[in-house]
Amino acid sequence: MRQTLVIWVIRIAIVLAVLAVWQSLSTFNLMNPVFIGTPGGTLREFVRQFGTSIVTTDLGYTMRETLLGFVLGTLSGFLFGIVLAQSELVERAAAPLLTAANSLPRVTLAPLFIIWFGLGSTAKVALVISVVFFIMTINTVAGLTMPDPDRQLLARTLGASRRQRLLYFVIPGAVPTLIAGLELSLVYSFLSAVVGEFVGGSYGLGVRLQQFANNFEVDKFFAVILLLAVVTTVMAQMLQWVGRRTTRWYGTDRLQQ
Amino acid sequence: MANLAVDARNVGLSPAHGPDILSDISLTVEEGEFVAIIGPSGCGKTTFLNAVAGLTRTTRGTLTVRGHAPAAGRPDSSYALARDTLLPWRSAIQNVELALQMRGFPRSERGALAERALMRVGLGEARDRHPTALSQGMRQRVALARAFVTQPTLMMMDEPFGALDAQTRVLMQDLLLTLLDEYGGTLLMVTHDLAEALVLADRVILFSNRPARVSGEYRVAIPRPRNSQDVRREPRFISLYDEIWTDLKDQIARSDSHRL
Repeated sequence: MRQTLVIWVIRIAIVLAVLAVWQSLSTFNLMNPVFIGTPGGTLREFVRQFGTSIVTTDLGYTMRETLLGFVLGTLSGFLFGIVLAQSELVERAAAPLLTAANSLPRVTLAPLFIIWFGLGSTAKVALVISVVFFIMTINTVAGLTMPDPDRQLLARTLGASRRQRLLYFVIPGAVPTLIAGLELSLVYSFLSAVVGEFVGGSYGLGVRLQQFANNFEVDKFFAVILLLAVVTTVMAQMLQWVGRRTTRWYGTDRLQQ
Repeated sequence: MANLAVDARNVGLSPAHGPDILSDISLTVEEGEFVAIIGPSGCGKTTFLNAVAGLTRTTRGTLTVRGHAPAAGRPDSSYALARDTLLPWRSAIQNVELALQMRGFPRSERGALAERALMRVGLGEARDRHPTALSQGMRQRVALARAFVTQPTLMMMDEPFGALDAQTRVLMQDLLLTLLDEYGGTLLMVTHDLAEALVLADRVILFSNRPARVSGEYRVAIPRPRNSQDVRREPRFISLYDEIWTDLKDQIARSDSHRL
C-alpha cells in the first residue's frame, strides 16, 4: 500500500515538474509563448474543444478510420498468416519479403494513397490497413509456428487431423502472441490514421493538428494532442483488459515465448 | 493361439546420430493381457513404447500392433504420457472432452462421458477448474481420465502415476484394474515402480540398460480380480519382487559402470 502511494506521489511530482518547466518558459520569456503555448492555455482549449466540431466531427472521423482499418487489417493479416504458416517452404520464401515490407515506413505512402483514393476517409483506412496487415501477418506466423513438442505429441496421440490440430491446438496456443500483435496494431492504427490526415483531408484530428500548427495556434494544437492521448490510452487499456481476461488461464505459457 | 495386440520381433532403433537406443527387442502382448516394462533409467523403455504407439520409427525388425504397422492416434487405443500435457486454456472437463472430440464422439454425449470419467478419478468437483488451478497430481488424474474416456481397448501408459502421492497412486491403480476389466482391455505400461508393475501386470518384462534388449520375463501368477492392498501381502508378490529387483539392480549396476 505504501509503495503504491509513493509511486503516485512520484508520478504527480514528475507531471507537475514538467508543467512547471513548460510554464516558466513563457513566464520568464525564455521562449516565445506563441511557439510553445502554456499549460493553462492548453487546458482551457482542451475544455473548449468539447463544444466544437473537433470532438463531434473530427474525433469521429479519426476513430472510424482507425477502427475500420484496424479490424480489416488485423483480420486479413491473421488469415494470411494462417495460410502462410501451412507450408514451411512458402513461409521461408516469404519471410524476408515480409520483413522488408514491414520495415518500410508505410506511413510514407500516405500521399500516394491520397492520389489513389482521394482526400476522403478511404485513403486513411487504406493506409492503416497497409501498416497493420504486415504487422499482423508476421505476428500470426510467429505465433503459429512456435514449437511445442509436448502439445504436438498430445495431438498425435489423440489422433487429431490437420484441421483439428490447427483449430484446437495451434491457434488457441497462439492467442497470447496474437493479443500482443493486436495491441501493437491498435497503436499503429491511430498513428497511421492521424498521419494520413496530416497529408490531406477535410476532417479528422490530424487535419486539425496541421491547421493549428500552420496558424501558430499552439495551445489548440496541444489540446488536440491531449485529446488523442486520452482516447488512445483508453482504447489501449480496454484492449489490454480483454487480452488479460482471454489469457488468464494460460499461466506460464505467457512467459514461454 | 491368442490374438496378439503387440508383436515385436528383433526390433532395433539406431538413430541417425548417437548410439543405438534399442538393440534387439522381442516380446508379445496378448489381447486382454497387462504387461509392464521395467528397466534402468534411460534404457529405452519409453522409446519402445513410443514405437508401439506409432510416434517413433524403428530401424530394424518387425513391430505390429493388432496385425498392422504402428500408427499414431489409433481410435481403439490411447496413450498416457508421462507429462500430463493438459491444454491450459481448457478446463478439466474440457480437457477430457478433447479426446472425445478428436475421435468424433457426438457433441451431446461428450459432456456426460467426460463428467463421469472425471468423477471416477475423484475430480468431479474440479471439473470447471483450469490446469493452473490444479495440483500436479490432479492434472495427472485429469490426463488419466482423458486416456480412458474413449473406452480404448489398448492402453499404453508411460509412468502415468509418477506425480501422485502414495495413497492416490494406490487408488488409481485399483481404478485402472477395474476399468480394464470392464472393457476387456489390453495394457502395456512403462513404470519405474516395481511394486506397481506387480500389482497391475500379468507379465513383467525387464529391459537391459542401453542399448535395450529383453533381459528377463516374469509371469505374475497372482489371481484376478486383484486389489492393490491385498496383492502386496501375497507371498508370490514378495518372492517375485525380490527376484526381479535383484535382476534390475544388476542392470542398473551395469549402466552405472558404463558411465564411470
